[in-house]
Amino acid sequence: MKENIHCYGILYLFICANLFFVSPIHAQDKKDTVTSKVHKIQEVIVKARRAPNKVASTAPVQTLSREDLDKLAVQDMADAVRRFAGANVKDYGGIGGLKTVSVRNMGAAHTAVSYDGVTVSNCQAGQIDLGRFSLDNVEMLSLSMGQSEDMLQSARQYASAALLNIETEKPHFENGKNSLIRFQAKGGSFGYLSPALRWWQKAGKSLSISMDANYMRADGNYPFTLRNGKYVTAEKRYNSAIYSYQGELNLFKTFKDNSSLEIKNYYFYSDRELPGAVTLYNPVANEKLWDENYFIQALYKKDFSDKFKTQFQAKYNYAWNKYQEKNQKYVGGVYEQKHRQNECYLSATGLYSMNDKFNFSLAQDGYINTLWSDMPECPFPTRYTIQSALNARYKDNLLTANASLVNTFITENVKQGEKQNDFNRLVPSISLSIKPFHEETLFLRLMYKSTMRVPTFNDLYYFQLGNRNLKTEKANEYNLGVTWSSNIPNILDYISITIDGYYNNVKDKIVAFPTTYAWKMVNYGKVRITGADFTLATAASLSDKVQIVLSGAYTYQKAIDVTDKNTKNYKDQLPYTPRNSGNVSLVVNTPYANLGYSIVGVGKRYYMSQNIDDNMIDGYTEHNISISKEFKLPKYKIRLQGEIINLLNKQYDVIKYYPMPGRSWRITGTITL
Amino acid sequence: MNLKHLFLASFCLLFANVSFTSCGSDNDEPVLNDKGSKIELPQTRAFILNEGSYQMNNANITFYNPADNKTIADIFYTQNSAKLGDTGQDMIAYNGNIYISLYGSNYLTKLNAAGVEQIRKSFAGDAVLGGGIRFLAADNGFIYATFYGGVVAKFNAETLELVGTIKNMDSNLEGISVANGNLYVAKSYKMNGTNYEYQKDLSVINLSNFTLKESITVDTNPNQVLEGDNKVFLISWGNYGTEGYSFQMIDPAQNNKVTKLGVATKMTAGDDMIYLVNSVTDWKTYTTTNSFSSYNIKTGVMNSSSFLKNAPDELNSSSIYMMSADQKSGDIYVGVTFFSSGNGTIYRFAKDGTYKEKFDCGGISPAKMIFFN
Repeated sequence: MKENIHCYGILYLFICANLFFVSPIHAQDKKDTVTSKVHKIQEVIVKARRAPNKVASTAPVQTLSREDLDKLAVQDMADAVRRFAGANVKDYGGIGGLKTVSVRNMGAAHTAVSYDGVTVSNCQAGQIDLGRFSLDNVEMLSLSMGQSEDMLQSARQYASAALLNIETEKPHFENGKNSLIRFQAKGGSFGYLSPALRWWQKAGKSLSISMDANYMRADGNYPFTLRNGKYVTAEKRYNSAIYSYQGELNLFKTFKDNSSLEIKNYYFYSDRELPGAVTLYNPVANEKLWDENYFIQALYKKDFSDKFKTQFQAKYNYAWNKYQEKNQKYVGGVYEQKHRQNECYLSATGLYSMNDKFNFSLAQDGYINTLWSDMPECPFPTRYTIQSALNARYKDNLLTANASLVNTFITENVKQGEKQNDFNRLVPSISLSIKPFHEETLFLRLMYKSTMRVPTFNDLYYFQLGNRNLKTEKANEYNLGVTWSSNIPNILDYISITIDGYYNNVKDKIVAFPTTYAWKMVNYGKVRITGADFTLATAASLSDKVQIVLSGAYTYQKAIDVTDKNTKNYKDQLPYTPRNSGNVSLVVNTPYANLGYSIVGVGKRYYMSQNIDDNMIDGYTEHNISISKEFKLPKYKIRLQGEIINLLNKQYDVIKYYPMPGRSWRITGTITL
Repeated sequence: MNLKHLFLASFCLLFANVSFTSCGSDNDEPVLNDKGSKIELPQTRAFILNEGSYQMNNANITFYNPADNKTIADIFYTQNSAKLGDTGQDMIAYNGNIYISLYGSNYLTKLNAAGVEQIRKSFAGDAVLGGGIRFLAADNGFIYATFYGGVVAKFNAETLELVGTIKNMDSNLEGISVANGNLYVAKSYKMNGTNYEYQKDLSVINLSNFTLKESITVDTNPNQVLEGDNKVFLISWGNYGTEGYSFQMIDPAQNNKVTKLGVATKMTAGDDMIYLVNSVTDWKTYTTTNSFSSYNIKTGVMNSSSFLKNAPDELNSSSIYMMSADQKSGDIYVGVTFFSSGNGTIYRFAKDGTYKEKFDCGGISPAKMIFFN
């Protein structure tokens, strides 16, 4: 036991050195920054205690580790993502409410979500519901603006304006064990209950298997106060129940040539009631949504030599959903829509390191998407996409420079009606990181990236609303930042600061364009976004056993609509875009227990396009607190955690008339064998 | 209720009616009932119902003084200290009161002439009327309302007590109007599975016994219905594909004969005239072109020239959401929507079509305008 503690102590110091004293590590460890490869040291995965935001990256990258998620009472994926500077999460409230992320206000469809290295897609609607991902098995969450560091990524990821990367925990075995079983139970307010089971099994020297399964149910009928002038009433969010199942079965194989294969089977099912917007004087809510998603993905990595490395990905994805509303206005009193999507995806990336300074990679993706829907006039489209990304990197002790060219070609077939025109577009990006001083871990970074959003199936083919003549939506991102990291002996273990200013513009924005009697999707909108992101991460050791970790993020954003001078919202701030938002988190690690406290604050914003007082929503702060303690016993570990969410019981809406829960509690018990 | 109470109630009602309709000292118009008003209002007044955005609870009413062109935004909130609700569908003036239907909030409310709420009737969750209230008409002490789910309901105009329904009309109902002792009701569409099934019937309901009298075959998807000079005018919306909008006249005096008069997307009646606009959008340029025309009910002549003079240029390409005419002054009001982008604008024209002014309507999507005195 003592040896283990000692071993972890050394590992801890090693990781701290890697993470916090960035400059020397980047000089010595080029392979890591090129491939973002996870290293194994004597069969033990290196696990970061805290990974602050990367200061040496050419574009902003922010991370949250497993430990952060545990200690900060992070409720779900959306709650985690909203703590990243520049991320704007739309949360329709409650456990089952839709949650999407838009990075620097370019729109949710511009942000790719990667799950264990493979992109998650939704060709029908474009945006990914973050609510479907469990945080229970997440090892690391990162948000990259523009360009992520990994050169061995797919072309699809290169093409995105921002990338939310979800990395799940890989099996790692301690004390010579060959298996691990973990049972976790969560319970909380509003009927929340979520048991989860994990099983990791080593099957020989080079093969391991992991299984994660969880079930979640909640009534979701939380109380809220409805204020409508003279009427101040105590209400409840009815029709909010949710039941969901999620499971994963993973296989990890390392071959004799040191190549590796990861195969992931994923299944998700949810049955949820939709409370809808709070409608004054009419509490009736009769909507339901069922979702089912299965995918199998494989990730194979092989290094042919020190100079040439490859990665291959394959994925099959099936997604189905059914929407239902009960109302007398429908024949038979029920209205239902069903949709089914399939995707087959292949990707290959080769990385060539010409020498210590120059690296080149070429990523080639191909994927096929289909949509079936029972909506009238559905053309049952099949989309064929070929994406290529050519990338170059120069790196020395003082300069890192990346350049990429991404080409996207799309063609479609439809079974009825007209198909859309083919798309073909080449977009460039370039980014730099300059280290002006040898002795200071100070970096200047610059980035330009051109991206696009392809119209979704809904944009093109939705009954009466779709428009087959749509072009791609185009976006340009510019970023200028300064990052600094250091330690102050005897005071701060480390301090890391990043400041980024940015300018984005989006043109040919795909919007629902109204006329007097019909709406259609058109390339009409123009948006201009200027902003600044600031992040801070620091830690101080009060003694050998007590440490304080402080982190924070602040975003200033001016995102204005510049579509039409003749409209009343010309140059007005976009809806749901606060000028000021941020968060601060404090973690206190002690031998007795760990304490986490976090505050998320959002300034006033508008819920409609016109910036008039009637359309304003008040700002809010949400305070969360958690306390956790791990008990290590000879044969098993027990971890207990208690959380109070929205400690001050602040009533607020993220989306107008979708009230968020007030004060709630959650307890988690975990036993690991 | 015993006889004594009935007598007292009748006396009070009579007194109330007399007091509400007594004449002003300087003209012959009845003095409006402003009881409970928190602000002093001129006798000549208009109200604009702004529909708002669905599920945003931002329907409201703007007060407008035609004499000095001044507005009071959200007078419902001012008078009642609460929001009007979600999706203002229709508003009518009847017997010196204002009646408003709110589709999203699904209730019918009666306000006095100052916008002070007198009584409301909610249909939220109602087994028969839960489909949602749509349009209103009034006659002989009763308010008539169409509902989604195929119901026409009859309410006591004073108490909003439900006194009758005609159910199972097998369609979602839209416009409703009274002419020649009958109600004319637009049977618009059905949602069958995921399919829209557009209807071709205008139902005629006998007001004397509140029973369905007959169905008239009209163009697909009948929607807006209004009465002018004892004739019924109808705009059908078509099927958004092969069939477009159409403007029709139904003549009760000729056994409800249907005459197709042209193409229009919106209309209003005023002084023997039907004022029309046809809005067409070019989806390549995203521009809408509005063509204004008029129909003279007395002469039966359709005039395809615009009835507007020196109208601001932007009105030719705006999204026109409402047209209303002040029956007394003859002024014509054209309401333009910017949908969720911002508050709408009202353009005011004299009876001869001369442009007078424009003003912000104080809310999203102006849907209806009514006038007093």
